This record gives sequence, structure tokens and C-alpha cells, in this order.
Amino acid sequence: MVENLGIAFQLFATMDNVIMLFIGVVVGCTVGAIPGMTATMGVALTLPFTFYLPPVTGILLLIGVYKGGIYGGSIPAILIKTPGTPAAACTVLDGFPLAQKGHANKALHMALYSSCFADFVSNIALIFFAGFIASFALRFGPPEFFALILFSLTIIAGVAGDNLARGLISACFGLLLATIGLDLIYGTERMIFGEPELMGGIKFIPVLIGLFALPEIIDHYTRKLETHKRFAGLGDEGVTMAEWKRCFKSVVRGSFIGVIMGAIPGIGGAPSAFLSYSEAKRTSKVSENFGKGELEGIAAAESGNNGVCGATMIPLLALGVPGDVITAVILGAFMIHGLQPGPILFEQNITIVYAIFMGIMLSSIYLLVVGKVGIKLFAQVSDVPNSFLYPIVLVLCVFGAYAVGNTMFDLIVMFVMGLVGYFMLKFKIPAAPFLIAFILGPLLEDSFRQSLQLSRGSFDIFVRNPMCWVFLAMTVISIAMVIRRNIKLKKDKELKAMLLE
Amino acid sequence: MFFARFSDVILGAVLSAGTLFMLFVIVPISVQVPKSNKVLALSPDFWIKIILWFMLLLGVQLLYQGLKTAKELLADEEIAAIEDAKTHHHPMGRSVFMVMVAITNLFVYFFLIDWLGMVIASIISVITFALLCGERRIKIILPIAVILPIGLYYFFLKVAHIPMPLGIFE
Repeated sequence: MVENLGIAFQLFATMDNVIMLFIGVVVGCTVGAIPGMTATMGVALTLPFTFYLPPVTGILLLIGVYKGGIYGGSIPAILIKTPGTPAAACTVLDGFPLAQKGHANKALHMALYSSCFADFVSNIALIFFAGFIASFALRFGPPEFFALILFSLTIIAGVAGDNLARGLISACFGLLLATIGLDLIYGTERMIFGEPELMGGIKFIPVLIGLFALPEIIDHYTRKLETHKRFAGLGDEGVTMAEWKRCFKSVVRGSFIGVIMGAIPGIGGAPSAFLSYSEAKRTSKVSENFGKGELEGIAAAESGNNGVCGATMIPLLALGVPGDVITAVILGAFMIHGLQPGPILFEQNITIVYAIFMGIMLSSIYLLVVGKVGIKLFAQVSDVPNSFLYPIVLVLCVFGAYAVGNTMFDLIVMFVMGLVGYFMLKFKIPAAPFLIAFILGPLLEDSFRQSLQLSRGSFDIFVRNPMCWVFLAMTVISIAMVIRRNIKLKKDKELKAMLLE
Repeated sequence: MFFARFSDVILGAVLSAGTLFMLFVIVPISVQVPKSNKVLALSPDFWIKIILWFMLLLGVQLLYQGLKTAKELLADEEIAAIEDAKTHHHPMGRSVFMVMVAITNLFVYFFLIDWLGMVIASIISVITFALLCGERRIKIILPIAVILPIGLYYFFLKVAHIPMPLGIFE
């Protein structure tokens, strides 16, 4: 253990890692601060720049972008009432009224401190729980993995939005696309149509960039030119110690809510922020001020959404299962660097895991420093008009997609996926289930077929082991809960229509 | 309004028809199943067929739901979403035209890369896209259009050791 920690420290403590992580946090904060750019887009566009880097450095760069992006989303939420990321939607409730009162600086500082604290708590949770879960998962064979990944696919219900059917359609497209290539058992062709570039399957990065960046660019053309929102000014006041102490209880509560909700695949930052906010409002002595510019509201929302960051990495690192769409992208990054997150990673590359943990801890400190020093600068970034931004994003997409395999074919894939993504956007089909299914699809199929090979075609293998039963039961419960939620939503809608009549 | 009312029907119909076409035409042609395979579930087309049948089910369900609800009044949220779209987007005809322009631009960009190389094609595309986005401050567009592609080209060439295509300048 100590020897491994020593090796991990050597692996981590290089100038490249320290600088790249810093760059990642800066890029993330910048991307998050720009309305219209999400943390997912930021991670997706940074991914091609990690190809030439060693695995630890590349992954730390992406983690920096992720963490910076989630915090950065609070800046435009507070200043111009436009959350930079969906997770920052709750911060608008009190952040913007406070900025209107001339206390934007105070609001931004509270968002920063709460985000950093929650991020730190989340990282500690990651370090403590990931190893424990991974050691347990080491006993898993192909049938257990099949059951686990099947359960993980139910996270699609969480990222599907209001319409489950459309989310499932999206996931089916992802699963179908992932089957293209040579069959792993027989080596026969599957939907290749004689194209040699397709033999190894469709590459992840062109699909990712095409789905998450290009549709926004195409859609921008259909938008009217809008007067750009500008913020009034930051003000001079920061957060006093008394104010921090008053909000501390909500920050701690929000951090733990974030950790718990982040560790459950499919929930994400936004619900966690809203739950933390509503709990803070319910228990606060000044609950009547919530929604009118209450500092405690910002603290609760930001700690709730940043508390998720480290925790979403628990299922990713321990089981190889992404907790949300950004961790799905990071999972893709691990694979690109020849690493497969999950128990095997802990067994074979424990030094890399420890080095990543060290970097993750440093990222919390960087977030505090970068946020503190750069608040004024990031506030200016939220003023960048999209007419400049989208052409820049397009060029980054093209360079990034080409760099994957030095081939024009990847550009074609990216453009085609961009069109598919645009039509999905218009038909309100969410893109996140597509990506998660595209990544998990091959793992699901492989474990399914490996299990059947082991059992010589008998399906009994999936119910022989108690662990399979547990995961299958969780899958059934998860599906039942989703169906129940949808029926309830439908009934509520009908009731509302009846009342209106 | 038409699109909002019939989007489920359109999507359900297209999905069902597309899935049937895949199941009975594309998969039999393009997925090779070895004769030696004796276990159905291990066949290379088993997984694909499962996904497609599930998609067909979803398509039919969406079509049925769409036909059922098409005559109903739109919910408040749907009307609000349509109004919001009207406020922020061009009218339907212009929107479709602009999407066609954007798609054409993307493909022109692609062919320009092949012909003029990544850097020149990117410079032209940044300027074109920014102008089409309504940006008229050429003094800001021009430096961005030149510096960004050149910077990225040298980053990938010198740092990442990934050569980018230079087209006729190769």
C-alpha cells in the first residue's frame, strides 16, 4: 500500500500533471461561464487534446475541465440569470436577485466557497468508497457484469428527461450504432458495407463531438439575433466570516446530499442542487428570504451541485459504470488511453488510480484559487456573444475529430452525427442516453455473450449467482419506479387538464 | 403548431418503417451469420435484432400515442414552448432555409479541407460562419479566423505530433 502510494506520488508529482490540471480548471471555469456551452461540451472538446498526453495527465486535464465547468456554470447564473450548465439552474433563484441588489461579488464568492467545500467532501467520499466497492466487485464474472451493466442502463431513465419513450429510442440508436464493426466472437462483418474504416467500429470521439457540439451550432442559425445580456457590475463586497458561518450548515448538508445523489447513477447535479436548496429553505430561520437573494440559498444550491462531482466518479472508477453523461465521456477517455475503469483497474493499475486521486484532491484547491483570482475575468467571459463562439467551437470540433485517427472518415462521422443530433434536438430526443448506451452497449453485449459461452448457451448462468439476483432485482425495481413516475406524471397532467376545463 | 401536434406521429411512423427496413433488408444483407453457430443467442445478429424489435415496439407505441393525442388540445407547457420558440427563432420557412445553409456550409467545409487543407478551410469557414451568425465586426472576426486554425495546426503538429492535412499545399 505505502509502496504503491509512493509510486503513485511519483507518477502524479510531475510538472505536466500539475500544469495540465490547472489548465483544465481554468478551461472548465471559462467554458462553464459561457452561456450555451456546457461542461459536457467542454470535456468533449478537450478530449482530443489529451491523445498525446500520458493517461494520468490526460484524465486529470479532463477532470479539471469537469470540475471547473460545474462551478463556472454558476457565474452567468448569478450575473445574467442564464445558467452556464443545467446544474446551475437552481443558483439562479437567489444568485440573480442578489446580483440585482448590487451584491454580485458576494454571491459569486459564496458560490465559489460552497462549491470548493462540497467538491472536497465529494473527493474524500470518492477516495474512501471507490476502493471498497472495487475490491468487492473483483469477484464479479461475466454474468454479474452483464446484470450490473443492465442495471446501469436504467440510468438512462434518469437522463431521459420528461419523455421516457424518447430517451429509450435514443438509447436504442446508441446500442445499434455500437454493434457496427467486426463481430468479436466470429470475426464476421456487422453492418460494415465493405467500408474498412468501419471494421473496428465507429469511434467514440466523432460521435461525441457530433452529438453534443454540432447540433447547437446548426440550431444557432435558426435563432434571431438577440440583444446580448450584460451584467450591471460586481460590487465590492465579499463574504464575511459571519455569513459563511451562518450558511455553513446548509453547505455541509448540501455536500452530503450531493455525495449521495452523485453516487447513484443517473441523477446528476441539477436534482441534487434543488433537493439541497429545498432542504435549506425548509430548515432555515430566514426561509422567507429564499428566492429573493438569500446567500444561504446560493450556498445550498452550489454545494448540492458540486457535491456530485467526485461522487459520480465512484461508480465509474469502482465498477466502470458512468454516473452521468460527463463521466461517460471520461470513461471514453480512459478507454482511449488503454485503461478500463472498474475493479480490474484497481487490481492492475492501482498506482494510476492513486495518482488520479491525488490530482482530484489538488483540483479542489485549484478551483478555489482559480475561482478567487479569476472571478472578474470569468464574469467578462459570460459576455462573449455566440456569434463569435460557435465558429470557434466548430473549428475545435473539426481539428479534434480529425486528430482521433488522422482520417477524413472521422470527420464524415462527426458531420453525420451532428445532423442526427440536430434532428434529435428538434424531435426532443435527448442525446445523453444515446452516448451512455453507445459506451455501455459493447460491454453489455460482450458480457452477455461471454456468459453464454461459459454456460454453453444456457440462460441459467444469469440466475445462478446471488449477486446477479441482486442486480436483476435492482433493475426491475428501477424500471418499476420509472413506470410509476411516468404514470403519476400522466395522471397529474390529466388532472390539471380536467381542473382547467 | 403542426410540428408540435404531429411530432409523435411523424417520429413513430419513421421509426417503425425504418426499423422494419433494417430488420428485413439491412440486417440480412449486412450481418454475416456463420453456419457453424448453433446457439441462437450467440449469433452475431441476435443482439441487433433484439434492439430493433424493441425499437419497433417503441415506434408503434409512439405512433399510437401520437394518433391518440393529436386531436387533443396542446398542454399549457407545450403552447408556452411554441411561443418561446417563436420569440427566439426565425419563422419556420426561414429556419429551414438557415438549417440548409448551415448543413451546406458544413459539407463545403469538409470538401475545402480535402482541397485547401485544414488551415485555409478553417479560416474561410470561421469567417463564413460568423458572418452567417449575424456578426459584422470584421476587425474581431479576422484575427480569430487566422490565429485559431494556425495555432491549432501547430499545436497538433508540434506538440501532439499529429499532422493535419494541407490539401494542395502539401
